[in-house]
Amino acid sequence: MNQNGKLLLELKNLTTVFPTKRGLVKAVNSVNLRVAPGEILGIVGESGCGKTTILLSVLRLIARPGSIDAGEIIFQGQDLRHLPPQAMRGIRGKAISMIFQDPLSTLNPIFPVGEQIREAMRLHGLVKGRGRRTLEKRRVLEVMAEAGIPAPVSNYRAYPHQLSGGMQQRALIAIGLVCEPALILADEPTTALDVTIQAQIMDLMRRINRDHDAGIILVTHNLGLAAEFCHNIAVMYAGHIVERGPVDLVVENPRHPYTQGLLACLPRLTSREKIDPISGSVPDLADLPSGCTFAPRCPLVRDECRHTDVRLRAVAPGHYARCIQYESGERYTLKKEA
Amino acid sequence: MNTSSSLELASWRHPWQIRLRLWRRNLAEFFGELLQHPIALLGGVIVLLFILGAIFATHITRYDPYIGSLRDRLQPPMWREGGSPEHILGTDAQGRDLATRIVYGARVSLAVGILTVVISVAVGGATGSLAGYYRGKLDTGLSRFADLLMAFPFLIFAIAMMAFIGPGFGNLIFALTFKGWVEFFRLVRGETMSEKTKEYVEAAHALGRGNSAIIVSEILPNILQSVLVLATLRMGFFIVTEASLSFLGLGIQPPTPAWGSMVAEGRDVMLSAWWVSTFPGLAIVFLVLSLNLLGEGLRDILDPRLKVE
Repeated sequence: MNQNGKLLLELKNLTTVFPTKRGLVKAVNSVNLRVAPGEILGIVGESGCGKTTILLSVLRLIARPGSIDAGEIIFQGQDLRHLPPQAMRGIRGKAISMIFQDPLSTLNPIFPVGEQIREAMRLHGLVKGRGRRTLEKRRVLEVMAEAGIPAPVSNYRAYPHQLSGGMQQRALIAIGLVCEPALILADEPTTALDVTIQAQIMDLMRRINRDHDAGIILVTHNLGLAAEFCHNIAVMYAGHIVERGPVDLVVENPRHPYTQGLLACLPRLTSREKIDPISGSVPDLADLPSGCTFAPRCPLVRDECRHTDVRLRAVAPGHYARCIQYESGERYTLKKEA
Repeated sequence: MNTSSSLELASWRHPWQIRLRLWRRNLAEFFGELLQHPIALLGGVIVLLFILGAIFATHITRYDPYIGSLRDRLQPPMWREGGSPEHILGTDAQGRDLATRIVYGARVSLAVGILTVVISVAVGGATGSLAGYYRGKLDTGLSRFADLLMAFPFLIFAIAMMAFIGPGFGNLIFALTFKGWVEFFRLVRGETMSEKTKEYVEAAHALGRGNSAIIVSEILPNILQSVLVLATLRMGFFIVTEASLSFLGLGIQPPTPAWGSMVAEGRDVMLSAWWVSTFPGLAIVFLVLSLNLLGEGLRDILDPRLKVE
């Protein structure tokens, strides 16, 4: 993890906005995150809290009229936010790859999967010169085998709809893997799959992380999955990061009421306790409540929550929470973490 | 691992060879399905016969389509009294063999149909995919222009246009494509807009693909099939329109054998020699009908929504 202090990705004050008829929506609101080489960072939260928007911001794929409003995206020392489009295209898929949620709709329906994997490699001209095609195909078969696709040679020419959901996701991972990226952005890679396949896919991701020392950002709404798989966890709520820290601290000793609520929502096989859901729903991002955005749903809400600005503050070394209880504590700064 | 041996690394080929191979395989699949669709098959076979007839016209008949013999004027078809096997479908007022002129007329009809469709697809496809992908002012401008053209009835528009620029083969193609591309523009624009929202397009962006590459190699292959269906159907329509213009004297000019003008020539002798107008008219009906059958059949075969995986 973060031993040599070299960072793979650092987001500073990242703010991504979408203008809507009802006002400016800050889907990602002053988010600070860092990923070290070989680190797996989990971003957890409910639908619409801005998890996926962070990933798309990193690749600068925010669709208009949305835009990255402020902040820096430092990847391997260069600020992606101000990279010319041509150079940005060279980063996408090569140095940073993305694995999407729904594999069937992410694969182009009319090309065989092997061709699509090879296309990803061809696009960045990784192999050059004579015998390129042979080498490219050999590499594709290698990656397919690595991604756990059985009989890669015959599955090379299979069309996406001829594969099972798990195989489709493996093909998608193979596409993400073929250029050996330094960072993999995984957007709920297992949501569309059934549980046994989920475990296999996560196992595969972990192996990729270990074998290639690739950093992974895993976006999921499944806190259990993140707890199992990640080194660090960031919990998001309404565009803000409300808690982050090493997985053990966040899961064993959650400090933010929202994280506590999320953990209480996890069903447990061993007990028949009733699940205690967080009441209410995510606030309207175009019309955020003043003060703490979680206040309307918070079981521990106090009067001052509704008008005090809260910030991420250290609650333990490396463990931060954004709640008024810790407001007197040490303020989180970018320098502190480094 | 029997299947794998056929795909060993040694058989690795150039991308376009792969595309070709895939295409060939799809083609085999396609013909398999065509064989099981009797209506499309019937349409396809008749269209094919017309095409072969047009190509090998000089070998099919020994008569000259332009020069008749006045001695043989207005001979009835062979099965009528006074007809002879020399002229299967009879002769026209100038003593030209009607069957010969119909076979040569297929050249005009098919040339007009194919050229008009190809140009319309090229123009409509290019503008439609740009407008559907980039939207914005370009799309607004093109769409309003398309709406404007759509507001005119096709035949009236073509008549006005031909009256303005004068008859002739090139002018005819120009007049037909001037309005004909709009249908393809609208189809491709709409399909591009819907394909563009699909995740595989976003994934292609995430892989570092540029916009033009995404249009050409991701989106267009996905909408090719609907374009093919529309092209077949529109071809029949263009052929009818050409015949109508030629009938009115605005299209292909006599003595060039075109079905429309042949029908017009037969009007004067309609009561005494009905066959002069009737057979070219039937040729139009058969070609257009079979093109439409083929188009409808293609729609059934190619539409993936109708397919059960």
